[in-house]
Amino acid sequence: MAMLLGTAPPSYLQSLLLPPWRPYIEALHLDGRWGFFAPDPSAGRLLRYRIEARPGAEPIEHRFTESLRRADPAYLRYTTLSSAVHPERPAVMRSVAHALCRRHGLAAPARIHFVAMQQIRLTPEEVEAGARPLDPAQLRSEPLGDVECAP
Amino acid sequence: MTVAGAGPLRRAARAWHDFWLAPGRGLSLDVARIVVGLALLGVYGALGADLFALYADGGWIDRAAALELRPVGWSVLFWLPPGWPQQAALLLFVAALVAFTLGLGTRWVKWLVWAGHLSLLHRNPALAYGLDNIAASVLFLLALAPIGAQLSLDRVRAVRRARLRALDELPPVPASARATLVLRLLQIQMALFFFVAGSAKLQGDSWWYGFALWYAVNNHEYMNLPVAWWAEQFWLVNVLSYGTVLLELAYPFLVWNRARAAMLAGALALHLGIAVVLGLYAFSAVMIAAHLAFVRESWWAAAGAWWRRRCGGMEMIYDGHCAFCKRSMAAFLAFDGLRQIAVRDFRAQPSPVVPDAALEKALYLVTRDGRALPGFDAYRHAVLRVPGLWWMLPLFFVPFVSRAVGTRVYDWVARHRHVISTCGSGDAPACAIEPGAPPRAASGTPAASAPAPSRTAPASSAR
Repeated sequence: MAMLLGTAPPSYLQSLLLPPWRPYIEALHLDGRWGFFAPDPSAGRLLRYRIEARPGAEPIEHRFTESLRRADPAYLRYTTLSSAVHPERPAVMRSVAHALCRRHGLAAPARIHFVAMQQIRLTPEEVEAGARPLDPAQLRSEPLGDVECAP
Repeated sequence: MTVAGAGPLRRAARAWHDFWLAPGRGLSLDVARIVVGLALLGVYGALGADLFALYADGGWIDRAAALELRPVGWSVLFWLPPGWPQQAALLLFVAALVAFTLGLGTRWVKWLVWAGHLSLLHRNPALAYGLDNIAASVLFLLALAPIGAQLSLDRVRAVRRARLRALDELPPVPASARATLVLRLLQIQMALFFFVAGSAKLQGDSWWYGFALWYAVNNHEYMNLPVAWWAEQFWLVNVLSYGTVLLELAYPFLVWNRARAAMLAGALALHLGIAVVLGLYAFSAVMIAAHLAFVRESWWAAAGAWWRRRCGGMEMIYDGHCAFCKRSMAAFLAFDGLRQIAVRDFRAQPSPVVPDAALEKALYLVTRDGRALPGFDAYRHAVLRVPGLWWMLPLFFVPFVSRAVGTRVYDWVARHRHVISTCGSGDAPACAIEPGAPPRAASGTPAASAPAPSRTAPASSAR
């Protein structure tokens, strides 16, 4: 029953049956979404950030997702982490920014500016003509906002 | 009243009861335990210092961020102070994963692994993806099951204890209703999982028109193979996209009947494909492990019988007057779960193939085609053919080194086996190996502290 309710799409019936099971399902993490790559696989999103240092210093651009090595056991953890950085989740954005501030401590960062690079979908014909998914022309920039480094 | 003579209601009740609770040995559950354990070791154990950065305080996600993502999450890591207590808990979890995979203390370590996985999952929900969801469900079900009764060090230890009493003894694996119940729950979960995954895909245009895989392989995160290759093979994108949806929708209905083997083969191919094409190795491994719940016990038995026919029929001939030999045989044969090796004490039962004089010098293995291999070569032959001993392959098959070192080590041990046998018995001089003294066993001369070997003496008389 828990398996069924935990994964069922939201419906009137589910809203009636789920509440008594909810604590159990949530505590045991039986409510994971199972519709992988559904309804459509996402286009892809890359996280970049700019370190804005103390006054007078040049900002430094960094690529978070693109700098990851695919063979690294933590690769999918970090790509998933980068997907969670979004203005709708300010605490997550702040926490990741503070971690980056600590990592770049030598650059004396004042704030981190996040940018999401949304992949634009390519057709097979465009790829055969030489375009590639990570070409600058195939990425759309979406500023996510600034986070001040903790003093 | 027999079932045949019972009414339809009673037959239905009996069928329902048997479906859920007919005692089974659940070998699939132990295979799943090993595969899931290895996959999670690859996910957590291989992280190194990243394990702390990703899951402990002071890393990427602080507690406020974790609770923003999953307000109701619980985690052991929330209850521990930052620093070494959290790091120790994470290391304990990895150690528990190693024990879980090996099947050591499985009865309690399975709960530790399950709680540990949930703790990490809830401590940092920002890192969770499909693997974590399915692993949470599978680990929970495995924790409910009587795992560790097979394919585990727990089993090896039990068999070793039995073989110390009698070398040809193999304690039976108990059948259990709980194993069947958990297998059924796992089966239902996988059927439901595929149904949800397949029906959700029907809502997407990319799956409906057969190019969803193109989107997936263009996503930087999953770009494991060159995109240009996929563009040239677009027909394959179509076939694989449609094939995925068809399989996911057919599996929940057809896997219960005669099409089970075909459905399992399809699921295996799908997940191997996901691993290669999208680079989701651990996810695919856990999914394949869960699908194993549909492998019938008779299939495992048939596979074991086939392997035994192909690589069994070996006989190890040992010295029954040597207590050390018997102890090491018991330890070695504890890994022979398929009973591929029979044993013969040449003191009690002379071999028709190998003369006693040769057996005084070394243990022998008689292969199914009648060859007699001594000492190191005997072990080498067996290690390659007994699946439970495959973990020793690196020791026995390093080119040149294994043979050069192994033969010398074996010969030394064989020459001094009676000394080793009595050493530790409380008689201090028994441990003394006199330099230059003629090897006692090789000459056939009985050890001073051991009774004279005799064909008629009982095997235990040397202890």
